[in-house]
Amino acid sequence: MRPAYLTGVSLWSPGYGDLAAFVAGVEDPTVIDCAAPWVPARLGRGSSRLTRMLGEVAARACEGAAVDPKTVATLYASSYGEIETMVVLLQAIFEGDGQLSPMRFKNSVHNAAGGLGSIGTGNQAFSTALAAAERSLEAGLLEAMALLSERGGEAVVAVADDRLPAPLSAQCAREGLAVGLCVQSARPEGGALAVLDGLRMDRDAVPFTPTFAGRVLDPGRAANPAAAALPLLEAVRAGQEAWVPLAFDVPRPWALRVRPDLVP
Amino acid sequence: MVHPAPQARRPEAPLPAGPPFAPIPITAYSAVNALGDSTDAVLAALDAGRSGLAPHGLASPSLSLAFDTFVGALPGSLPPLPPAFSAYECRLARLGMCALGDVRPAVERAVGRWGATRVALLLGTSTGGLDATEAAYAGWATDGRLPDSFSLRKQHDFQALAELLAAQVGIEGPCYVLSTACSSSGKVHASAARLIRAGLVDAALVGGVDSLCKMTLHGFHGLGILSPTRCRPFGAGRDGINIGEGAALMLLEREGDADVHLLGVGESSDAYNMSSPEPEGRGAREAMERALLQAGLSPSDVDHVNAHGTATPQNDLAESKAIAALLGDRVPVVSTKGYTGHLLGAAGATEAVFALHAVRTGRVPEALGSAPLDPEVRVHVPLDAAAALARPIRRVLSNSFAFGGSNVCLAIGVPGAR
Repeated sequence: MRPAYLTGVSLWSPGYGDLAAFVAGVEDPTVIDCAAPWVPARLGRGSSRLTRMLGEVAARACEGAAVDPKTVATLYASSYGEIETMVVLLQAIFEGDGQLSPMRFKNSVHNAAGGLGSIGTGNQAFSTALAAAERSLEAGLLEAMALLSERGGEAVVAVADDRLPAPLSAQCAREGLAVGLCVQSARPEGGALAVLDGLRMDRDAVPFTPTFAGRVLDPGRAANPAAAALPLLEAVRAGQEAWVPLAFDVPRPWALRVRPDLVP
Repeated sequence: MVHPAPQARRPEAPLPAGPPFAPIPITAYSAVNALGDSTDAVLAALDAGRSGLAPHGLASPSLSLAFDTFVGALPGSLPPLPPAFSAYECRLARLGMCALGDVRPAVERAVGRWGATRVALLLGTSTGGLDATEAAYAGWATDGRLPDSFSLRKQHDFQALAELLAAQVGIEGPCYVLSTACSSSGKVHASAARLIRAGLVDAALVGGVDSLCKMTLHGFHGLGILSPTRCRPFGAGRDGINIGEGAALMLLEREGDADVHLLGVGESSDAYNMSSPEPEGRGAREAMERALLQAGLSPSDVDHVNAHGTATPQNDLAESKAIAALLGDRVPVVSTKGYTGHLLGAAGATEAVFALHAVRTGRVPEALGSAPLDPEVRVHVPLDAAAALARPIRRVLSNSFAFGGSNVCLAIGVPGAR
């Protein structure tokens, strides 16, 4: 496994327009949706907020890394994916006339963010969409590290889930959260946020500690699979060398070794 | 009909660097679908040129659709899950378990050989347990509550099926799902190959599972691409797809006894339209070119193409342009969707099994439903089994393309020089 460099990070959640706001812990109730610059407005009609969340954090992570959105490999990971759109379609089938909106049906696929983003940016490079419940971040980073090990280049991992619509929210209460991580095989000229130079599987489950930036996370965000990325963001912010778990409260989680990029 | 000689073209996007792709032995495989509930039954039906497609009212009356179409439903009833796993109960899970039966001894051997944590399980699906969610939603719409038996996490969640299958055979390595619509279970082969090459695992059970659901059928009907009759891939006057259900699995190992290998995989993105292919088949061609490059093959090495061939006017024309431009018109091109219907998230894995079977038997399936051919389709579509026996089959390309412009091509066959 070749080492990789973390070169861009991003976050979006309702009330927090970016990572800096989330770190500061200052909630803005007017932040209820995101721009998602990769998703063209025309095509974005009928898309879910999750699609925009994934597009938003992927774009912002690449901006931070100065990576070209037209060539970066894109990996989108989510547990329940486009479930908001799915419920709209189920409503039409079971409570409506059975006629489904073609636009909504097209945007109900788990790879909606990847498809719309590729069209919006003209990106014909590698793209995938993953689903792994609590292991969604783990799946995204395993895929990204293996991809970079094979072919080099740059990749962005976007992991997100949004709150669930009724009636399914009765079984899963979570608040929307999206995290973007831009990784690349070559060390950038100005240095990286961190070096990622080890992957291992640990034997025992690691309990999730619902804290970030010195404060306790609300239960809705703590229950979001994307919250698994917060310890990684903490380690990078702290400039610590650490093995950071990529999934919590599951057997045999994978961990990623993160260390500061100290090469001048 | 004469066409220019095929030429390898460098794709516009930079191709992956790295070491050459070592062929990966395919040491076990299975498929269940409308052709049968065992791999033997499925492949016997394929060899016999027998379609599994039937009107939905006969094949799957519980769908109770208000429009005409044919579907590919797995015949008979599927056994319930073992009691310890009853919380995962849904048709998707039963299909997956059915396919697991035929590869189970080989997977358990691989787990013993490599170690449980050194074997991955990667699945593709587009529906997940949507059939269970539909039933639960119908209950909620009727009486305002979700059924007690419904579990979002253990039935609807895509990951549930992967966890269920991993638990049956003791796999403890990376376990997750790819869901890129109809390319899902083609792309799992690429992911597994990367995990093996990166040294993270030594083997991977890969595959795809999808079940018939009201939402997919209503959705494709709304798009106007669901055929009211039996689908006709590459045929004149073709009018759309039939949806099918099924599951297929393959065991890939770093080393192992196998006569057929995964030789390479190509992936590309159209970046064109969410539901329509780029009209000239640009992305399709790039996926095929990348598969050939990774496999170290030239276009003249290809003996057969298992096409995506959904039987929509647009897909088949674009794909045939891509194939003709890359391979010319000598290679037999067949879409097996005339047998099974479009298995969506299970299509790539199912057709990989059919590609492997073509290599093992030296036979290309008859192109069911394709006669009379669309004169605009300028590839060689063999309309009878006799024509298909004309040349040995050593290397096959298997295409899968998806909503969102996600394309994948698998190169499957016998490694080494011709």
